[in-house]
Amino acid sequence: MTAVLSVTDISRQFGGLQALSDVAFTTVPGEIFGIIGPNGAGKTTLFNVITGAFPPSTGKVVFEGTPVAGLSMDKVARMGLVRTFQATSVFRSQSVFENLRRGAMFSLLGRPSFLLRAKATVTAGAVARKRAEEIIDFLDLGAVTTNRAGDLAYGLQKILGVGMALAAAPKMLLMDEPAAGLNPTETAALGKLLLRVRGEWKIDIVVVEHDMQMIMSICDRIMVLNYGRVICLDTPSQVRADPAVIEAYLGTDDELA
Amino acid sequence: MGQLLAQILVNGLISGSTYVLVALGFTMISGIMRVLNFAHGEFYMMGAYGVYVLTQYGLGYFPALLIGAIIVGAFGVVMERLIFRWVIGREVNGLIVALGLSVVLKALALIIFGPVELAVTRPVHGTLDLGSVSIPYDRLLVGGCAFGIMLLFYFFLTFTRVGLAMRAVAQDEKIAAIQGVRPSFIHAAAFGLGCLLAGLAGGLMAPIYTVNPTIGELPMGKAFVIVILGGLGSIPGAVVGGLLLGIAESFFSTLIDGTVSAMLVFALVVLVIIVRPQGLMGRSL
Amino acid sequence: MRLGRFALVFAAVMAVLVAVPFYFPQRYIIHICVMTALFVTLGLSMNLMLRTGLVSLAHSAFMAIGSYTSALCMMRLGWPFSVSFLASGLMVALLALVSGPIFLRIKGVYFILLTYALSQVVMLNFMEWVSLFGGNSGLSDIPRPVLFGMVFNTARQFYWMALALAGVSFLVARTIYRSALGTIIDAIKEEERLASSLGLNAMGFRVLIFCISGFIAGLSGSVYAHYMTFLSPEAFTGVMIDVILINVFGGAASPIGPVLGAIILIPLPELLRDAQEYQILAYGILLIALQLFLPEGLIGLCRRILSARWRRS
Repeated sequence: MTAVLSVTDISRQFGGLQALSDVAFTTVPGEIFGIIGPNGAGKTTLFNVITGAFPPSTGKVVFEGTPVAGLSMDKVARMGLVRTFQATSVFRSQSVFENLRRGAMFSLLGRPSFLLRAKATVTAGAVARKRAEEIIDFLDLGAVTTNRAGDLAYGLQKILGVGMALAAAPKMLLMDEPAAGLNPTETAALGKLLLRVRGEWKIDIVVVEHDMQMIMSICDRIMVLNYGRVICLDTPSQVRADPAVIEAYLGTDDELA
Repeated sequence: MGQLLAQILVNGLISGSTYVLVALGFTMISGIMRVLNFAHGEFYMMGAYGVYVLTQYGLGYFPALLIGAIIVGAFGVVMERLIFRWVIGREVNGLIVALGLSVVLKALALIIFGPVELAVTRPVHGTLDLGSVSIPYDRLLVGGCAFGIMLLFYFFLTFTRVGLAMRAVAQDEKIAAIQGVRPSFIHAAAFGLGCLLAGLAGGLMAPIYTVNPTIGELPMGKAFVIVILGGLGSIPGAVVGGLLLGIAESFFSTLIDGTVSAMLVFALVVLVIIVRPQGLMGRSL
Repeated sequence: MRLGRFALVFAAVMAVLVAVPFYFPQRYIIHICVMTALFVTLGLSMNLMLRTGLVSLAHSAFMAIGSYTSALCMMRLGWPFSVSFLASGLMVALLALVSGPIFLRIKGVYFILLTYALSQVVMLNFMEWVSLFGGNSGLSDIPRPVLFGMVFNTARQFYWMALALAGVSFLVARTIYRSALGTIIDAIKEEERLASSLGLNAMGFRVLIFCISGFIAGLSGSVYAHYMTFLSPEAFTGVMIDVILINVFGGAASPIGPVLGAIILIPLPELLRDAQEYQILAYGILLIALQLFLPEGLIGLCRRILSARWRRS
């Protein structure tokens, strides 16, 4: 099998500011790939370039053989590359079940042309329900199925967010700081969940994170960004020992302390 | 040909400068309060009626202009405190409230003054002849005053505490509040100032055209076009967009005709959206 | 079973409404009924926009385009009414299809400003393009429709035509809201970014709704044109505010909202023909007060009262 997500020599300027320079990496099928870096290292910019929020100044992003840079977020999602957001994103006014059902439905009926295929609507409805139920089982949300998503505790909303992304039937999840705002227990639980997503659902994960603990414990490989450049790309243990990484973190940020 | 172009340019700059006054207030209110003031044209209309009424009572044109605009501005502050502060940040609700206010003000003008066209005596007469370009003095006065007001407004935003605070609130209200700016005061001040500018524009134009309850609709439509051209919330965008609109209209309507000019301006707007969605001077998206 | 109950209620209400001209044969009452039915249609068309989180200020122009299209198709091209009627809807839908993607390119309130600008340009054309549209004096002697060999030339026939259009529009809106499309537009309104991240082409659906809404507005214009037999740009001036007011008053969260709004608000100015300006004043004040104190309209008020009762018992 070929590489799932391949990023080659991405650069991006904002005005005179060089936000990313020559960032490149290629994921291996079946891996959890981590991207870390101090504040302002360009993580969010890289994330936005990959998900199509804005095109890179130079370079290519290829997902499953198709260039995706500059494509709209929904199109990329329908191809199987689904992103999650840093802040919790759920349809607050809707029930947990409805949130999951929507996740499945939007991936199936994402374009207005579905209205021309009357059968698609019917089958999609059934498929969406089934997927929502599967995910409720997987995430153990059975007790809160009918609760309003907006009323859930913050940690549970984040879990639900992961569930909605799963409902969209991704081949790969792109997660923007999934542990932001979670306490250490919740973070650890989230880490375990991501391992299960990879193991049981066979979905690859690229995760941009601030929380070193979690990223070190779940990722197969980690790429470290600093000032928009890749300063290290290796296994967690090698990254931990890399002098450039230590300097980048201790020099600018006290994340490791 | 050069002569014609110069005349077109001067005409465009003068009409553009009054558009700018209306658009400045509109864009500022939208930038600071996230409210689309669809009643902005009616504040323009009030400024025109203000001049009419005050000169009827024997006041000179300039005192009438100034006092009229201040009354309009004060009325704007009252409206902000009474109505608009409840819809800050909720653009659709704000829009509907403003549409309601616009209807109310037009109806009031109709009840008080009737549907008749009222004339304001021109403060100056004659035409300035510069050889290649000739400008009626009353138009020159409007343009001169408008540019003067723009300059004052610029100094106000750049050098006064309130002006700086307004810019801070427009950029990030939370951070501005942390630094000791009271957003509620700034909202009221900005709304009042925006209305005052519209009132000034209405008062300036009153002697040139006649005054009736619906005169605000046209400049408000222009203000919309300007903020789309210049970028919503952008002060420099309103100036550039307004002058550009004035010149474009003057150019098209002199060389072709008024209706075609409006069509071409609309086409220009569509073109700007396709090529540069954030507006000519807008912050990049 | 729910469908069964709804179908029964709907059929009963329609039956009562169809019978209105028999009990109130006065011409001016039927005229009010025709206008109300047309505004129900137009209000429902705006309701589709509001539910998707869009405010259009082009709907008065849309209605006008429908009117002029239908009138000119019959007058200039000699097309039968049925074809002209459809053409009026399609014309507006086409305009929405072309302008929608451009107007929605920029997020936020630009759409509102752009629809306003479009509306101004369209109305300007009707006023200034005299050879085609008749300018400010408008078009007159617009032919009466003939459908299935029947000539529509009485007010009550037009009332039934407008009522049918309103009824069908209501069913269309209700069906959309209850279908997958309804879920989709709700999601776009609530959390567009999230919906797109799950694979939903939000822009596509917004344009689609803009087109459907425009289509309905165009059809209402067609019926209006052949009912009045006279068109001028002036006739459409107040429509922009009215369609929004109808929704705000009734409540935009349900298709019943604009129906109630139109039934209550449209007859008022016709009944109180004197003191027009005071009426407009009252409309404006009403619009502000509703937005501040009752933002969900009559429907919202009813729901609140009902749920309070339900909770108490």
